[in-house]
Amino acid sequence: MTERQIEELMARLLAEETLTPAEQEALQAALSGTTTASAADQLLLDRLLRHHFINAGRPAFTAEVLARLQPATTRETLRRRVVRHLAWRRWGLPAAAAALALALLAGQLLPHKADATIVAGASAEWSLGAGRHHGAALQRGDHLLLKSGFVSLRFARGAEVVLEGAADLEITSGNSAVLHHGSAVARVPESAHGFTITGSQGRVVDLGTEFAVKADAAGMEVHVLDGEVAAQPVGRSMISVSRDHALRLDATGAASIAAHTDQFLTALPPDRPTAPAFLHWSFDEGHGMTVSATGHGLPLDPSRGTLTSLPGSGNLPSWTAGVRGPGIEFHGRDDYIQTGYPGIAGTQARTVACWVKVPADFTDEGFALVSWGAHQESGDTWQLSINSYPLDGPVGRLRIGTHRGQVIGVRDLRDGQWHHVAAVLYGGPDPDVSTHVLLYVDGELEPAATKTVRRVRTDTGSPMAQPVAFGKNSAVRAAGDTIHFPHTFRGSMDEVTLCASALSQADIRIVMTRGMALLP
Amino acid sequence: MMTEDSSDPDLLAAAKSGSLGAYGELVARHQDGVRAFLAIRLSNPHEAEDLAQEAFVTAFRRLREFHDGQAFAPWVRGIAFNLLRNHLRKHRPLAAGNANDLAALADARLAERFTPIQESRLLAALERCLQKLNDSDRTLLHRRYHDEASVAEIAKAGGRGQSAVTMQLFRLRQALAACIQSQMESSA
Repeated sequence: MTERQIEELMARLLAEETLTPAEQEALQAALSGTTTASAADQLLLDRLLRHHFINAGRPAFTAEVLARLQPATTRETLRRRVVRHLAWRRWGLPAAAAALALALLAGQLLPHKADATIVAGASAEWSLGAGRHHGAALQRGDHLLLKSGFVSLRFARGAEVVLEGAADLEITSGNSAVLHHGSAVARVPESAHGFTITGSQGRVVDLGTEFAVKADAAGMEVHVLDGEVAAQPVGRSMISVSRDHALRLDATGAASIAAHTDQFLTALPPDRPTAPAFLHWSFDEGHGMTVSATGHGLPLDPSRGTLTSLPGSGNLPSWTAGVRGPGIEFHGRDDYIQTGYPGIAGTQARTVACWVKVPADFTDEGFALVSWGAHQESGDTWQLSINSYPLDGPVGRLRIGTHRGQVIGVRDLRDGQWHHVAAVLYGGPDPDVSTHVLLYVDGELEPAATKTVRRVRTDTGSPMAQPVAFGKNSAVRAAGDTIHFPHTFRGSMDEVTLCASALSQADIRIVMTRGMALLP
Repeated sequence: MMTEDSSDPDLLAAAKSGSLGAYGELVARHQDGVRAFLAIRLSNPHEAEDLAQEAFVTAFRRLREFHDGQAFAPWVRGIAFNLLRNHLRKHRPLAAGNANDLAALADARLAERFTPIQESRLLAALERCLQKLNDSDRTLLHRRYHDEASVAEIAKAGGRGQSAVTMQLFRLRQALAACIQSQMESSA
């Protein structure tokens, strides 16, 4: 038998063909000889290629070793190995065929699983031709090209990533990605320890944590929100970074920077239920002392509001021309509207939206648009307002406050024109005003100028809790209050919507143009 | 702080006192040898990679047994060898007959194919050689080794005969082996 024939036998064996006993014998004889290195090379390359293609997309080898050395990960390591062992069992050949020990090479296809899946989006605008929908399955090599907004992905091994546009994220495996530019927050469960994000000047490897990464061509920043990560500038050693610390990796290596753990959205709103519960005050009464709400799923009776003033003052809001029919004008002289509806409690998801007209000369006066809660403990209040405290952030911008925690937008609304404003809190076990709130102005996602970390626990049940009011600062309870807070809003409002779900941008645009009742 | 400029003995001393950062650098330096050693001796790449990790995990836990002045690479390769032997003892199929002998023979030929130092360059050499392939060859390898498609499936999808695909794969492996060989010689 020529060497060429021997090699071909080996090739057929590697293609999982069954050799005749005579062919097997011939191959065996050849391999026992001294001249057929190239037949063995076929097997060598087969194994090397298999190793290369299977393991190339896996997270960094070193990181996985280090993760296995972390005591907390012992259980997980065992579980992962069991899973891999089962996968091996699944595609290994049945016992009868094991006689061809050399051909213990893949016989059946593994089901082609997605490396990552898009699970949520908020205001996501994709680059031209790069649009992707919820549930889209992503494979290694796929790029997510996001122009603006947010999408949330779940990787095959369990890591959850919120990507903020503009961004280009490339999926490289079920547990790793390359962030070419943009910003991303990764929450990594035990099953995904070793999750890796690579940037142009280094990479970040999870050691059991939640972390944020910002990347551009010049380098990348990592901010650790919880736990610990290993960061590695290109060609240098790994450096561990722990909670509330941050590092910048660039061509010169790594440098500590201030951590901004409150600047990143860590989760996106879940899909809302169909026909979410809501209340809507149209202010279309146009006269009289009361305003009524329409809606469903929330109590209509207590939601009726009264035009009133703080105890000790006699001023009242007045009727004015609104965006759709009549609206309400507040004068900033202790006049406001008080309803009997307690508001949405605790950590529940919610959306508050309305039209607002802010006078151009608005300074340190009017404050609250829609508010409820006790204003006693940190985080116990929910108040949509126009910021008037320069110390908290730029004046005249949309603000959501929770009592000692707030998010303030960037667009100056002091132009005497109607603007549609909305604030969305998506619930969950532990929502936070810095990481679970999205603001919208005129239907566009509003970037945040400042954020303060504060848990949300809106108090609607304690003796101090105040029901939903329009135009009154929740900190103020009487006209004679000597506190320095401005008491009531000066400006106009119309079409207030309060919804017990987190609405999407598309929803908010419908609420803005056609009203909540027309939500599909 | 330990850097890429630190010597193995410095890194080992730091690792012995518990520094995972220093040990990570050692793993980064020596992983190619251990991974290639196992990759060419095991037909399941997942098991090869798991055992390679296990070798470094075991080495870290046994660092106290490591003597100063000893070289790290052969030591951790020795650990990998023991893990491989135990693994094969447990998992080698009990099939009798020629095919089993064939496997042992092929493995024996592989074992003597390269020196440990050459083995440690195999993975990098393969990567360089893969880059020289044209797109259609690379696509074929991707289908076969990444997607784990059978030769029959590839043949059917491409409207070709099975033996044509078998021979194309054969020639590709042959070309890659020659390329790796020349890389070994030029870097020797």
